[in-house]
Amino acid sequence: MPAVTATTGPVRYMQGIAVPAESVRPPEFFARTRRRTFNEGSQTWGGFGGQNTWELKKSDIVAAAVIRFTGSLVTLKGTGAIGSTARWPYDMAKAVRFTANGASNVINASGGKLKAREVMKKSDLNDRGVSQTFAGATVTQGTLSAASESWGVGSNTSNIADGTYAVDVYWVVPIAEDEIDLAGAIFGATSSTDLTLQVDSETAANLFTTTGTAAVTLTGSMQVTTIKYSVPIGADGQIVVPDLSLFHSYIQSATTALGTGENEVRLIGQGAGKTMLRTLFQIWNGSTPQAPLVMNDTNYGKLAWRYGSNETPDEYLSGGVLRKLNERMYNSDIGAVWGYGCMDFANENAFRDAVDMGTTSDLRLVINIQSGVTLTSPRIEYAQETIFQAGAGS
Amino acid sequence: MPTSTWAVPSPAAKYGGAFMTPGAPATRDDTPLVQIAGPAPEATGMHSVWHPNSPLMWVGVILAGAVGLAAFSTTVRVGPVKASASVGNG
Repeated sequence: MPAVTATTGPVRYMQGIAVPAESVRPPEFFARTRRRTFNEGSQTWGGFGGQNTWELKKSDIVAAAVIRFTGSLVTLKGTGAIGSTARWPYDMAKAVRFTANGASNVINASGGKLKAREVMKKSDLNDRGVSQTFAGATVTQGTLSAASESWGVGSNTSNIADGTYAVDVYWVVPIAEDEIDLAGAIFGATSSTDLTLQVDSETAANLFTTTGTAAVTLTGSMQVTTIKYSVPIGADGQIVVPDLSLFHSYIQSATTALGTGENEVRLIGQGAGKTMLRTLFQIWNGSTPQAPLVMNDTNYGKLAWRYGSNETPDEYLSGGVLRKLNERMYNSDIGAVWGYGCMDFANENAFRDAVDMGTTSDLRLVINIQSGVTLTSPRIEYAQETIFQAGAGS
Repeated sequence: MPTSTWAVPSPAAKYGGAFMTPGAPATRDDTPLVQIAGPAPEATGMHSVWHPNSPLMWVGVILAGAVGLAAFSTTVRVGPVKASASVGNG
């Protein structure tokens, strides 16, 4: 007879980590856990085109990470001129990536998309009345800025005067989809955990335009703070954890195959077992430096999402309609400055509206660009937010 | 003292979508007791009744032998009449 030497107790796999099945007791976990706001460390900013990486401390259950950049921007025109692009300041973080327990890049989006996601999820957090400069004008709506943030210089603004400007911005990395019930939070209290946060910074050329001998210098540091929850011990001496079988994903993709009229942008990464919560999009257009198309009737005609041959559940007559419905959901005019539009299935009632990606084949965005828009190297950037059982897809 | 608990919604109750689809991924389910440090039964051929390790195979061999011999030698007796049949030179 073949040797059978031992047996193991029932276990549940939580994002690739085996946890005793009897430890999964969500009500007891929430009664006993303690929130911890944890400093993961400050690093000198890696510079334009550089990179900063944090390996998060192996403890607790990780729900969110907050990345803060604080520094100093020095502009010196010399014989030329300096302008900022619309990538400044939030897309200074060109890509923020979070890798958890072998699921690579469950979060992979630019800083601007992360700012939008924060407002979309947390609609009581709004940017109304926060004054910033965009395209040389003062704007107080739709900047996605907090009052405590400082852009230093305006975004998409030309002829920046010589000076030294304080820059202080932040991004929230949504590891858990919901910071209240911790859906999608990551079990970090094991040596086999691998939690890595990486920030790729944008190049200087994509953030600032310079002519002549003009020079832009940005120095500073990046700080990462994580929001964690302690893993308590139950009355039976076992650890107690909530249901951590989910992964939350926010992934940005892009394509340049766009023209005036109707465009069907096929969403990549579709898979059975995944539930789509929202898809954010934005079109960059024009010669360098590019700027986003404002979400309005002038730029956008019919907007929709579609699957199968021609199933089109949501159809918005024009950009102006989607912009208003988005503002109504988020309490922020996300289409005004950065030109965002979002097909949202989770804001009001995810149970009712969320999309099962396994039963909606060939998911795609339908985007009509008005014929009066002059397209120059257009590029659509879209970010899909999904939630799924660990192991079902990524 | 009343017990206070906070109801945590299940993924299916909160998100619907793919979590409502029958045949949820196996990662969600509790795993059964698993054997470790031994080859899987399928890999050893133990699941086959023809394998020498299978008791069914040996029961089959004995039955086949007994029934087979009986088939080759049968005697029937009714009253004074005796009839017999045999195979071979006997």
